[in-house]
Amino acid sequence: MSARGAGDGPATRVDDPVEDYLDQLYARLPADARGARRLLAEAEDHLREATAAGVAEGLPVVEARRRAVDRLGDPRAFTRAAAVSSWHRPSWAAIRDLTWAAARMAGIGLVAIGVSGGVAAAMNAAFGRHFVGGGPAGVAYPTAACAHFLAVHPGAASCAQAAMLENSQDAVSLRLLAGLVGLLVLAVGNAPAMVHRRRGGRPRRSSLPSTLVPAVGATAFGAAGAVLVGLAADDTVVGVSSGAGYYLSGGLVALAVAAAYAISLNRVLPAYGA
Amino acid sequence: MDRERLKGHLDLLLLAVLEDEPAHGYVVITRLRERSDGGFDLPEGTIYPALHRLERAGLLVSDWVEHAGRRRRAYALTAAGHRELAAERASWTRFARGVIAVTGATA
Repeated sequence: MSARGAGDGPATRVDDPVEDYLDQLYARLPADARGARRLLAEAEDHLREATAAGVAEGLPVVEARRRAVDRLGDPRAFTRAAAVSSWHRPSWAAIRDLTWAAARMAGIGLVAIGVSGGVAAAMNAAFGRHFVGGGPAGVAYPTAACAHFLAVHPGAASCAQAAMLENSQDAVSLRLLAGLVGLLVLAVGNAPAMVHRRRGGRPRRSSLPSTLVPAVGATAFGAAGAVLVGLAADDTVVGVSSGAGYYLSGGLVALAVAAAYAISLNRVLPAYGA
Repeated sequence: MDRERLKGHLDLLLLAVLEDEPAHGYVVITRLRERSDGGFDLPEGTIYPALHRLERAGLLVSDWVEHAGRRRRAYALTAAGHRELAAERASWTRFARGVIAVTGATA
């Protein structure tokens, strides 16, 4: 309980267990901003009504406030129970939201792979196709693979050059294909919400904590980007596999997506007083 | 009644007191206390998280209503809530009959 003595505030301020309780509750509210506001509003309304009931029974107002606070119970138990209750029995809404969040992130990942195909194409054009498709020097390809590479790229001077052209081409075409699949996933996943909105429905609020998806996205794409850029750097120095552009194109896009998630996360965090 | 035992039946009790008409948290608690003749004396703070949990489960729906210049969150049973209440009530009745029959206790 906060001590409010002389000189600690306006002269009219009196000991108020309800205000003290709400202060303690506020300090322990769960991270979900809307849930936190709701808990606080409900607790305050409850305490005001319980106080009024006590006064109506003839209790002095301070006693009525104290009884209201005592009956509501420990604010730590109040907020702990709220935190547990959110996940005690996952509702279908939570399962549906979690499934859609995972599918949406997978869709965004596939679109990011598609964009990296575009970046690889730009790298092919800017730095030459060896930058993306180049393999380690002196590697021997199986005869059947060579035949395939040379059949697809008849203008190539050697098996190694045909393999390099094939790698640089696959880095673009296969990734663009993945991007199209990602767009399809996002379109199909968003369709029910779009239909709902076109019918005049209010946007449905997700039951997941608002920080969850941006935090997972920033971490996952950030880690993937770091690994891919690291592989590109390793290729530049050691040259153990494909050209550095093969990994660098993916790494740069993954880091950009991670940055977008981090910005989204940063927008949500101030609401929690972080 | 033992608080831990009471918590095990809290969902059924909350659905039951909201069966006839919507109510906000304070009224829910008051109804619980009055209908049990003061026997159900849980810390009132535990009721709100339970109401929120039931809402997440799709058994309750809630909205803000204005009353005497204050905003209150009023809770009402959904169709799924009514079905759950009926099922839980039937289950409880069977259980209570069984306990009474075995122990010879009186209702």
